[in-house]
Amino acid sequence: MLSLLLALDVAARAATPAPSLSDIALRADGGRALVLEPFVRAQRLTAVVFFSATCPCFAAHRARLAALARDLDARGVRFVVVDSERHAAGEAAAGAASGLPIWRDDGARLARRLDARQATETFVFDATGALRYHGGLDGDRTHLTSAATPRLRDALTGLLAGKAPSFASAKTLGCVLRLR
Amino acid sequence: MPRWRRSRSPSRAALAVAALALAVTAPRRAHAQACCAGGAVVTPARLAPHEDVALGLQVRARTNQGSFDASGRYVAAAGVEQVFEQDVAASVRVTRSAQVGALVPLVQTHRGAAGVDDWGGGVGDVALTARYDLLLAAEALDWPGVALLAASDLPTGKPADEPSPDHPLAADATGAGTYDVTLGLSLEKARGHLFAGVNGWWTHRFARAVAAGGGPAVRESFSARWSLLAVASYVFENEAAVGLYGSALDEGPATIDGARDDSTRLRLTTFGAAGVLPIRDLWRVQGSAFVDVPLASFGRNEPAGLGLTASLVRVWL
Repeated sequence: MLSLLLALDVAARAATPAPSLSDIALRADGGRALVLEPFVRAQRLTAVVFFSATCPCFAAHRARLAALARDLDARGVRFVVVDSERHAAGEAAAGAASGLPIWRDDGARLARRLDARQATETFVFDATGALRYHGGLDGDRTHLTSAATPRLRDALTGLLAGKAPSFASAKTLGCVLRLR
Repeated sequence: MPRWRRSRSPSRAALAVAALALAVTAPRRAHAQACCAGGAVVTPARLAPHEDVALGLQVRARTNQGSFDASGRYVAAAGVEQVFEQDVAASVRVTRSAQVGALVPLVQTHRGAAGVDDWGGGVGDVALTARYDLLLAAEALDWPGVALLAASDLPTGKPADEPSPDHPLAADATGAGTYDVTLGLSLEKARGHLFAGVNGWWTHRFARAVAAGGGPAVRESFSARWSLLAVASYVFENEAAVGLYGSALDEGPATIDGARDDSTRLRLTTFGAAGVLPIRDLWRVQGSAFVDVPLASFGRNEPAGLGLTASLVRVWL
């Protein structure tokens, strides 16, 4: 039974595409567009954070995320909050993530390209377009604690200091993205 | 009666489903994802997508006020039968889509009839379960979540037909006396605050030798057992959830030494209400009240009663 489960999972992961940002364009309210690859290459570090309007985990982390973005903005770190979810008729898509604009990912192209599955799941790219971190925001889910490991902050500050490994990953404690 | 394993009742297995049409519009503010909390309403040890390990204790008290005979007629009990059970359950995430679990029950039974009072108990049948989520309930807007289920009961308990002079009413019986294997399909749908699910199982019970009353042994083999569990729940902002569920099992006639015995069919129908309350992401308490439908044809060869359950589960993220 266990071997069957593992085999099913290996087969599922075999189809995961390699991360690439080429040809990905996001859009915001008012028709603004963000072509992701050139944007990433123009920043020191870019954190792509997946969003869900119905996720209590993301809602709980809005203020922390905004504070992190403010703290690292001057050091060349940009945050791109992305809504890739398919929405029901009449369902509000976004709003703002405590001051951070939310970019629509029509057709969930970026989410599929990165194999993003959860809200709060974060991908950090450097100026070469290389993926340097993949994981969650921190060790909290919906109830924030001061003892939580600040996974994303640690990864970003480590990368800025040149101390981080070439790639790091951490668990995401978010909600399932509704992509289909 | 929400259970963590499949056994005599379909609600003893892994989970819930849903193909129920839920014509609701999701609220515009962030709310608890029904996918994550809804499934724990009837199966508290089931892992949500973000959980890696769960370890829980469940207590279950049941009183049987009657039983169904072979023709499906409900007969009120002349005596008393009470069952108190404590279960230890654990679930572990094997991969992102797969989880396995085990449940060890400790069963105590009190039976009284015709002036005889019998108390007994012991370890029941250990249950192993597995679940593989092909599509999660909240992953698609239109399609239901789909999961494959598997389970097996191990005959670690004492069957009722095993001689026990100290227990004239077989109050020390704690198991079915044979292995079984179960395959199932789970369909679930989450939309806004609502969660609904339907689980169906097919169970094969392996043949066994029975020597009732110290007489010569006979070989008993079993027909397939079909079970169904349906649940609908409402998930609150704090991921607490309340729900209603119904379950049914049906098993065809057994074969005794090669001869089909139509008087051995099994059937039971149960309805209940359940709720789960998460405590700071790492704990949850769950409880339920259930009743077996005491109406003719809703059961066969099964005791009918009512009861309560309460569970405390610790999860690791």
